[in-house]
Amino acid sequence: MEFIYSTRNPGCPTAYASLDAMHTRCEILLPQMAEPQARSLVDSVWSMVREAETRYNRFLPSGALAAINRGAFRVDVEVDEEMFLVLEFCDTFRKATKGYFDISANEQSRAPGRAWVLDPARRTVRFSREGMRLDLGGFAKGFVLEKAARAVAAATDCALLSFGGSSTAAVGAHPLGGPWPVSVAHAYYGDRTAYTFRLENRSLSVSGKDLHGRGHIIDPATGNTVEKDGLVAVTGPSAMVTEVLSTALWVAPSEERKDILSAFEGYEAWDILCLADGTARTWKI
Amino acid sequence: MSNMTRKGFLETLGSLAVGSALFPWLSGCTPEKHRQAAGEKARLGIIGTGSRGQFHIANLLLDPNAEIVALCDDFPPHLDAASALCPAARRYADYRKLLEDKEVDGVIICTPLSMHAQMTIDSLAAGKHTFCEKAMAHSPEQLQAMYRAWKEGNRVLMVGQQRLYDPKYVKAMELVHGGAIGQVVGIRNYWYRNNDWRREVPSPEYERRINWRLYEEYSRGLMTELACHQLQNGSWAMNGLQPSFVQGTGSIMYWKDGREVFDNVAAIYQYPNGVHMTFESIISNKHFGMGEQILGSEGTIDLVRGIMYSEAPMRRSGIRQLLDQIEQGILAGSAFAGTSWATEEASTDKGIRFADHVTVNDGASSVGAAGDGSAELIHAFCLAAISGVQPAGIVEEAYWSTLLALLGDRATREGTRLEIPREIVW
Repeated sequence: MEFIYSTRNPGCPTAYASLDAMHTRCEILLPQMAEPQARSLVDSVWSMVREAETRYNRFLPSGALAAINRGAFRVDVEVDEEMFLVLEFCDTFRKATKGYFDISANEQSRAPGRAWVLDPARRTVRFSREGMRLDLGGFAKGFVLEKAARAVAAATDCALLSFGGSSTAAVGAHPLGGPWPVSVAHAYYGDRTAYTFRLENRSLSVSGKDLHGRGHIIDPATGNTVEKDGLVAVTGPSAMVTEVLSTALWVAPSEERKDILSAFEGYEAWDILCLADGTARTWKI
Repeated sequence: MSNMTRKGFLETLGSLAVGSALFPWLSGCTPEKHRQAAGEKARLGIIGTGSRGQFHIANLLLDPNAEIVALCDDFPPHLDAASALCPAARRYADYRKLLEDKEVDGVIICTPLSMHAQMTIDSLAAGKHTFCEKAMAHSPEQLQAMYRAWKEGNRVLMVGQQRLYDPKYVKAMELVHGGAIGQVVGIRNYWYRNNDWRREVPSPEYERRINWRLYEEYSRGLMTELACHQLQNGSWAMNGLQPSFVQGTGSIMYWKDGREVFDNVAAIYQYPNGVHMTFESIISNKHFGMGEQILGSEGTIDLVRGIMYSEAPMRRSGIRQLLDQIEQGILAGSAFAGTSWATEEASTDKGIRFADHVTVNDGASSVGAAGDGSAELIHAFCLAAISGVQPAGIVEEAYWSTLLALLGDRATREGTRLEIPREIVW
């Protein structure tokens, strides 16, 4: 965890903070904010992140999601309001993305048909298939980033938040004017830029193989990791939705992607292919 | 590799070649060249139908641009085995008779090393496009004669340096020359096995013919049979710059079975700019297998596994860079966005896999391995035999790798430091 308050540019004092959490590095930049307010805001955001890390981490035995995964087979497990909201969101997004975003997608639980059922009246979740589990890893990152960005936006009109580089939210414009320039790094050449997005009150999510070239996103239709070249980047007003869409568009076959994207007003998506010669090709989906 | 897959890959290679002077030999595999060769077949004769010859035959039988019309071997069991694979092919025991066969457009030579030069020279003189297994020759003098025969003629010559057609090597070299690992500061090669390198012989009189790799009359041992492949990496990575000196050592320390070539060697090549390339081989321990690494000032490329490592793994802390820019009143971007990373991995770089579907060859096979570029190489020869167009640069690549192997062998035997000629001599 790191907190820096810089006054080197007297016209634009800026706070920077980072926290290693949710299997990534969360970072916040808060320009033009007094140090005490910045510290307080960062503390509240980090509390939010830590709580989410416990709640949504399926590998943490004491966490709420782990409890669901352990006990929901043919048993109604009651969950709190936020967890139920998250599960409802995920179910809605599953339908809106033709099933390509699916938190139940993993090698063990693959089978046709819906594998988990929500009961809004009793706020419960139940699995219909033994051995299945829910994975909120990617979604939780977008969800918490959205919550954090909203909390920050309530306190300032100028900030940038990034969760590991794969999810970024820009609050307002850059303090020196214009949108925040956020560049997708070239896969092979250190800090070279593959493509630069300009964000103002918008979020960016990037999906693809991880930095080590391994596929880690599961195709719900096959249960296998998606193995293809390139990245998918999505921008839009909600960090939660860009996270969902970048995952779904990475998984979906190319002929279905425009149709999926059209259901989400205000969102744009790109294919980015990094080449070994240091250049990159970009296509708008 | 299926035909379709291979064709798709070759088209990819071809498109790489269009924009790159690094891979001139791939210009024979462009999609246009494929279209021109569609429906045509190179009529091929195979000289030497032992294990490597049969490996090529297996690939050629799947190749739409190949027709095997003749086979030659003076060891009947090998000829019979090849005939079983392609029964319509004519059989010869004397390679000169095969060279007289008017129906043969191209010849593939897979014989012991000592025979390469004369057979290649005779094949080119007979007007045949010729593919010869590596290493090119048994001595520098043979190498020069072979090069001269090709240079003064007008037929295609290709040599079995299959890494030149292996997709992960091609991509790796593009990264090296693109500056992805900074300045090249070292090249490490090793090849470890734990076997006696022997083939079963039907009776003692066949010992030297079947186990030709173990005898100086036929082979230069580990340097020509193994190092030759890896030393070519150096020429490729150093953009054609060749070493100035080689020194080395070797011995027979484990397999004391009458063989004449070393069972362990170590050679160091020094380039004019001070960079060193090493080759080490031991065939009584296989723990480390086969390794080929290009070391740069900013990163390392593992050629065998298709992975690139950074000297300073990027922390993707781009927002921190934005703070620096704001402090200086600069409005600029920062390349921090990308796919997920995990903090627990940040301290130990696991590298970036730069090639998909990598087949990691452990170097255990003396014949060849699936996915090592051999199928693409032999297909490229078929295309060249059809078009009659010599793939640029490939003979020079093979010349240098053979010369480095031969001089390395001499250095290990003499325990001396040898100067390496700066230019091709012929």
